[in-house]
Amino acid sequence: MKRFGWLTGQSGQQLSRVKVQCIAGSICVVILVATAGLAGAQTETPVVQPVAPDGYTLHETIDLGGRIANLNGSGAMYDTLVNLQSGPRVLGDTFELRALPGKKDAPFDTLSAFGSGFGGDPNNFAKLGFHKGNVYEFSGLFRRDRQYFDYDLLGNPNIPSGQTITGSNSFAWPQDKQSPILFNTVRRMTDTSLTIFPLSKVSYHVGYSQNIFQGPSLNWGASSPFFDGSIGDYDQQLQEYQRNSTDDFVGGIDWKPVAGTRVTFEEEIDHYKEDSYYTLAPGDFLAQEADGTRVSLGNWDSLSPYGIGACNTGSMGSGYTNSTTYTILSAPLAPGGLPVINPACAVATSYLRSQPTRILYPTETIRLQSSSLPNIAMNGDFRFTRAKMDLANYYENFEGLSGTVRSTTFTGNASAKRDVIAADYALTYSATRTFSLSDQIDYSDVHQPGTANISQGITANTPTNPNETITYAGPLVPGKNFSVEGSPNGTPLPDYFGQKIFTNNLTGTWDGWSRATLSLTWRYRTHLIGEGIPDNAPLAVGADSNGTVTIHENGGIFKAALRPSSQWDLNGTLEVLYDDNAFTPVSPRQTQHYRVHTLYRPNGWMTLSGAFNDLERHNNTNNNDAAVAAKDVTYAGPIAHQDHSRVVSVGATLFPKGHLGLDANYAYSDVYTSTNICYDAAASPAYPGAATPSGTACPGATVRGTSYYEFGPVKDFMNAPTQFVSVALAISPDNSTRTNIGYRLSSVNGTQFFNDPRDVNGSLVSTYQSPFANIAYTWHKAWVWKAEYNYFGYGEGGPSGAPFCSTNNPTPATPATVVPCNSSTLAGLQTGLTLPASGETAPRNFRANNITLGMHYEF
Amino acid sequence: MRRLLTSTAILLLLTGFAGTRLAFAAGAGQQTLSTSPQKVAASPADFVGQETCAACHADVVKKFDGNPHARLALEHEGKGVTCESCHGPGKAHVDGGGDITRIRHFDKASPQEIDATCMGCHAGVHPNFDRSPHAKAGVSCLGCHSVHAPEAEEHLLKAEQPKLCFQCHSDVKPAFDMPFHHPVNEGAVSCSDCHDVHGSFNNSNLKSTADQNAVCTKCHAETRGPYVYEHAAVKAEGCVGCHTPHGSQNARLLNMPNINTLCNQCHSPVAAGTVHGMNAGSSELASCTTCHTMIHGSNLNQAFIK
Repeated sequence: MKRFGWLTGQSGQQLSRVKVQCIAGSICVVILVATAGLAGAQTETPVVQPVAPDGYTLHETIDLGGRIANLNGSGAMYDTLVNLQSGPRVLGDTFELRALPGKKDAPFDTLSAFGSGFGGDPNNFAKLGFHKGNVYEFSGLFRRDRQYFDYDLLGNPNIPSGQTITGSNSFAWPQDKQSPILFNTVRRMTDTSLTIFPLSKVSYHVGYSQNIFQGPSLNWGASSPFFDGSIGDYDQQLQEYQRNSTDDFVGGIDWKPVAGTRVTFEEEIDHYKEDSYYTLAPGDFLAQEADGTRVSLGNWDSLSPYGIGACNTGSMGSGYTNSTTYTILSAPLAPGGLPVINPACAVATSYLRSQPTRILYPTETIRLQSSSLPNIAMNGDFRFTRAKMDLANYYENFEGLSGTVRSTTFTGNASAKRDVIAADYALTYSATRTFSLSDQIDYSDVHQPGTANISQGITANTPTNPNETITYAGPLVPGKNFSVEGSPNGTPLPDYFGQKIFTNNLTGTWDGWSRATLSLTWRYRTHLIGEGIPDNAPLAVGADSNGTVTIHENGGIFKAALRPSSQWDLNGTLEVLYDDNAFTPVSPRQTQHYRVHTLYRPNGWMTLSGAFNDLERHNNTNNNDAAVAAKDVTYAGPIAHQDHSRVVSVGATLFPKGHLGLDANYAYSDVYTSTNICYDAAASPAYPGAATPSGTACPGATVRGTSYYEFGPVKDFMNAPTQFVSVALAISPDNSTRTNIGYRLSSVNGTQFFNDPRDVNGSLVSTYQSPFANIAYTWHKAWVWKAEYNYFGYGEGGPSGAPFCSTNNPTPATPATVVPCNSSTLAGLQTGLTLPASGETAPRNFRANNITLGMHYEF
Repeated sequence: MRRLLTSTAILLLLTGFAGTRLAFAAGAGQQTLSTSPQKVAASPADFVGQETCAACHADVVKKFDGNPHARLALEHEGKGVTCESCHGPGKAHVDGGGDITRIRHFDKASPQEIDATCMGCHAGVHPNFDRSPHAKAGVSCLGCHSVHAPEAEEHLLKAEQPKLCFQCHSDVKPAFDMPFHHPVNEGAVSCSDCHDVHGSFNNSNLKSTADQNAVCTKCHAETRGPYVYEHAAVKAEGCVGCHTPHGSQNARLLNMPNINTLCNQCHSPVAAGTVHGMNAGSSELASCTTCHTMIHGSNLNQAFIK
């Protein structure tokens, strides 16, 4: 596994974890032993009550303890899914002050605070609230969550484990096992609000929220003939330090002129700051120049190793004899050092991209709510936003060697606006005691013009500073041109996006029987999307931008709430929608949504529940360019997208006796998606599972040179049937002991069309389970010992399910049939790809045992 | 059709404003149906006072002193909400020797009757509830709240989130035990962060946001934009075009286990040349996002490269 400085601290923990566990375990034991001593003392002496301020009562609790984590298997995957590590913790604490009745001069009536998870857990939160009668109310919430992600996407056995670079003195090109997208970020969110005179006719509220998101991550930097080459000749793995934040201020006035009516004016100003920047990932520096400058070769994501094509052969001197005899990498200058690269070969020595961005979102909102009129309730709002994005100082600099270019610098700026006018209004008229009619209108109009103005790039072809680039000054041949695709000529390149949405829901509700409530809704919706320039005319046939797409939706929603008995509730929804157009292939033209929920409480200690949720969506647009040109059909195709999500679940909660409880749930979900699509395929099946070239029948297929061509259409699909079980049994054998034992399991056994074994999939055959047990023992009236055991297990029974392939020579009229790759019907003519026995991904399985020990003390 | 709808909207708006004006003129205190506060036409003599209730229901009345409904007033020597504020005048009930048919009894009340009682005071903060999916499904205020015996005091909830929500939404619960999920069970995110269970103008009770962005961008602010070059599908289809928000077996809550397959659903030659797709996709070596790193939108590059 590569190491990436501070990232390694998380990703490469396997070796250090044992030590950490020992240390943490020792700390926990010390804490618990120490507190046990105190506890013993406490049983013999009265509990010391905390001193509360005059006129208040005070109640505090604290949960101290720690975790001991033990792991086998993939540490990267454990950190991605669980990330509970060893160490001492403040597992929880509460603080509550309450004014005694009649105390008038107190600054607050109640103050309460709560915190949990501090000391190293990935999720922490704290809450603070206090209020003073009808004078003010304050609430504050702080949340912190760490997101660690290392999915080993390139830990792929199908990627050779190391290729010898010709002319490299046997220096191998290492297999890239590190996920190219890795992050270790933290989000800290603070939300506060203060309401003044909450019960008065006129009240005021102010609030402030902050969201800070920061941390290191790995990202890609593309350099290819299709895009721009601003990071050198080859793709580079970049390290991004993310830092963005929002500061959101809100203030408003609520006016209640008469009983049942409220008018609110609110001003919200949200300020977004982004200061992320990109550099070359430390793990990229696999070689050095003769002067010791560490260099990155790039091309890390390719199956083709870095080769002579990266070098100016005419400038390699004795390093180049002919196309088969040359030296790119020479022996390190010192044992264990990095290999030395010929100075005429393309490298990157440094890279920096900085794009500090500021966005201001001011929004004015007016809200109305009234139920003052007989039999009428209504509410609505009107909102206006004029947001402004400003990227004033774009800076990008590459240093190294690419052709004759040793340094390139881009500068520029960009700006965009977002104007939003939105209004919502709803009115409910209770025509009789059993029938009401309501209408709900939602409208929004969004306009987003923007422009970017990036320089063509200032290049330097001679080294100006030995530390700036390589020192080689011999003859070179020009490399490729640098450019930024969005602004190829160094002139402003504007763009536009906008959309209008209008939705009307007209609903009639009948409540004429005590055991049933029925409602029927007619929904009409228009959605107009405009993009590009110009955007105000219907999109031309064959065009994919610079025009408008309009979608009209009509549908009905029927809801029934039944109460067959006083213990049994049953409600269901049938939703049928039809759209006359779609913006993307996966957006549905036809939607059916069936939902049923039921709850049965035969007695006071038993609750049985069940649910059925089936969402079916189709886009059967029959696409055909020729037919479109002939105006026989409106669209090309066929797309034949369909997806469904079907979930059936049952649950039971039983508390037959005060000391015994059972909570059990089972669910089965069937998620399926399929779309007709075409694929590119490598022409040379040199790697395990590579495609066998055949049909070229994709409608409108584009051929990228001679290296790739496309096959299809095939019916790509994913099927993910998942079973879920959770059982928890609570037992309290006596008044001082409470125990819980349970088990949670989520297991998927799915399949998918298998298009490229090198593009590593997530697993559709996996089981994630976490049994647990805990016990809490009340040692003293205010003293509780707690212990919990959790097991986390993740196993992939197969990489991605059974591989499916398509048959040969599909045509638009007859898309390829998809069958299991080992089907005899293929007769070796499959165009889909086969899965090698070695599997598809690096092992991501893990088993972890976590023990949490703690003590709860109240005072 | 558009003109008809526009006219209807204007009519409804005018009705609304006219209604407001009438309300100003009429003032409070009119008896209304379920959509309005329940004002019981009762004389002061019909009320017996909380002390009388305590004669038989001492335990309930005493416990209610700590309830937010009563505590605020009691702390300031007022009466606040008393038994008869919700249960109605108690004289007939008392005179009847405790006849439960002569007082509002919520165990026997319909969801609409319960909601009307609560909304008599709380309609201002929950104006959408009458039209919400919960109300239409017969889930009353007391389906989630317990006035006299709450497990969570802050909102008088019957149970803490997400346990409370999962009691009915057992079809959603499994998603949060999948390998990849929003940290709802962990306590970092709650159902009510994204959903307004009392109803909203959006589908699935999703909360409204100031500038009509997806509710997701409060936390995922870096995807909010505006960008010079928007990935139009992100804004037009919403985040759920590519992500499954509750939980998934797929990394990053993606709808498909393979990034290229996900992208190719739209960016495939099958859909090329139509309004539905843009250019050819591919299944080349690395994921599409190898190059298209700024897939949610870019300020520099139309192809979302940087």
